Amino acid sequence: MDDLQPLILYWGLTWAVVGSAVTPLIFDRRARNPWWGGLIGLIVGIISGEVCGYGLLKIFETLWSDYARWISIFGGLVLLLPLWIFLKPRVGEGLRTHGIVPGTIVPLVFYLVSLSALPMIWAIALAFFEYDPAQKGGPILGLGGENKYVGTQYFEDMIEGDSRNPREFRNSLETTLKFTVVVVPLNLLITVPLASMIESVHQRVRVVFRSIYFLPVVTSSVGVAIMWGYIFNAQYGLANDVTGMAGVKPIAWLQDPRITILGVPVALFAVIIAYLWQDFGYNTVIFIAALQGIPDHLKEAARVDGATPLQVFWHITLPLLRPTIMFASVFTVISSFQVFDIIQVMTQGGPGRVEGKTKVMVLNIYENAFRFGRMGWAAAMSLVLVAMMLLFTLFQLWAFRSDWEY
Amino acid sequence: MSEKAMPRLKADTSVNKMTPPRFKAIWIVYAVLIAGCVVTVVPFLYTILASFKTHAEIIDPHHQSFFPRHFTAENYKTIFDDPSLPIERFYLNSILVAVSNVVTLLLSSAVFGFIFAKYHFRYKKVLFGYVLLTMMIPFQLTMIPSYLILLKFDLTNKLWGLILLNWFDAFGIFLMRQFMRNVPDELLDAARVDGATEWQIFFRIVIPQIKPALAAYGTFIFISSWNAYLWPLIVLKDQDVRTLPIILTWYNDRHTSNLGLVMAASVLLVMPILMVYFFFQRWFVRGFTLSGFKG
Repeated sequence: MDDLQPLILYWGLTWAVVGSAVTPLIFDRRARNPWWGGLIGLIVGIISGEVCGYGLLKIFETLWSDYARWISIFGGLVLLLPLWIFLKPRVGEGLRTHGIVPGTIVPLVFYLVSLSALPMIWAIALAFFEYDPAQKGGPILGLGGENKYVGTQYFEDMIEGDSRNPREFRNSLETTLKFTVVVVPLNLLITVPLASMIESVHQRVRVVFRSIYFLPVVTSSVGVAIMWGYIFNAQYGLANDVTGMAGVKPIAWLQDPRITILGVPVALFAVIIAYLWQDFGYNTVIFIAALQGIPDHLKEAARVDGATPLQVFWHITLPLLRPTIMFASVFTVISSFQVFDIIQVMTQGGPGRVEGKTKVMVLNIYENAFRFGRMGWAAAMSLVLVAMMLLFTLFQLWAFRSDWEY
Repeated sequence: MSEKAMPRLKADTSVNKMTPPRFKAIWIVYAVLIAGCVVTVVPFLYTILASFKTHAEIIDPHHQSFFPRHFTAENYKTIFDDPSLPIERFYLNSILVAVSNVVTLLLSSAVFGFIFAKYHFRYKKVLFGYVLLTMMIPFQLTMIPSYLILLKFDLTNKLWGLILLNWFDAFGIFLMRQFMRNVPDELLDAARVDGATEWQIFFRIVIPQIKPALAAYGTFIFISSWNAYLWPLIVLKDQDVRTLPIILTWYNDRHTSNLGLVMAASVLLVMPILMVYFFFQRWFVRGFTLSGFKG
């Protein structure tokens, strides 16, 4: 029965989609309401897929066992084909509507309910269970059974727990916040002036600069992490060569847990630089696009009034950029909350085992869920992560609010 | 500010004097922009050059130089000759996943975008609102249950796991809808009068109209898929089904001490995309910045 489970899912899913996509078109041809076609196709598809699929599997298991599984996939056709062929056209006024609409919308709704809403609900439910996929769970989504219900235990632990996991969580929360608080302002401080500078040069050169600055964005973040891991290498890296020229002793950037720069551990600092380097081209391009949308006559008017370029930037460009800055800031915050690739490859969350100096939340969630099999705990942490993203987003929408337009 | 300055604007001559100097400090601007380019390009160059250095040169602490003193392709040879690293297989894996994702997501996003843009039905707004809502749900929340679902489908550790259930992208639907709304309704009606079916209208009339958007969105999917790391890392466990970024980190862990080798491997990962980037540059930039969303 256990190895049948994937098959059962394939039978249902395939024929739910095919049934609900094709049947409305046929209903439409026969002058019947295609929405009913979608619904009927969905139900008939699932029933036929499951029941006849199982039947075909059993029949062919003895006759032709090598291909029984493949043949069983076609179970859905057993009932759907007769439905499509023998459905009688309705007599009377044949008002044809658009069968294409239910033919796509019904499968979409089916997908949204079964494969998009489900993970969300499941994710929330998991946070209240001690879940490990290797254990034998209860009947509904594997919750209960050996995966026992722990209530709000995880959330209480996060706040006041003293064991290893909660400490690790609080450390990762702090690291993520530090990372975000450094990255976002730096990013905006680099990209906004950079974009307006690029905007001020000649069209030809502008395109060249833009495409160079965009290079790191399209680069694989794993590649970026390895490149910067080499640059920050303690013995052979470029970073120590550069700081060495300024007379600073070589630093083990990614290994030394003690040295900090303005309260930020050097390893986190190194990761931040790599992240900024990869990411700044994105916002730069966004701002260039926004700057091109600002009507020239506004700047022209200010210039005519005798404003210096810096004044134009400060009093005209910057206020008009505000909506764009808001969106850029919201998305930069969200993506820096989600940072994973660069850190996982560059430092694995270290230096430091339990309270790693660069162990951000997503890394912590990943390790707990997929290496230590503590999926419930990981789900609880991911809920906190999402709540924080939401909070920060709302805060920024509020902080950047404005009530005027141009 | 403008009110005070108004009276100064008297004669035409003063206007002419004010307009031409675009930015007096233009040279400072160029200096900053070029410095930025250097910062952007140096890590790439450093990596590429290191991949042509010998191991002895990289670890020699006293004679570090930016350019290789003994230019050698030894590192690349080692990688291509390594029997435990059938590199063409990983290229194939990555390309297979990326191309499949491009095809399925382009098709589904275009179809649903078309429906949402050009048809009216009950509860359309609610449904579209829900589609947009799913865009706001960060992947980190759903990654654990998504993995459990893949487990139920017996799709973990298979490349199909990255392809089969990945045919819904709210962002893509939103994007396609925005572009298809600009296709005039009269065009569709004319085709209907001529007896075209709705699917024919979709493929023959609407799709050709939004080719640029499709190209931009397609490149975006391709790159995101090529560079994807976290999800493939979760799904793919066995060596021979891995995609390039995952095999690269595995290789990195195995040869941490041999930096030249690792650099050569990362050049092999990064270069294809950068090559493509030089040819399709405008699609890239557009694909990534369309309506300001990140993948």
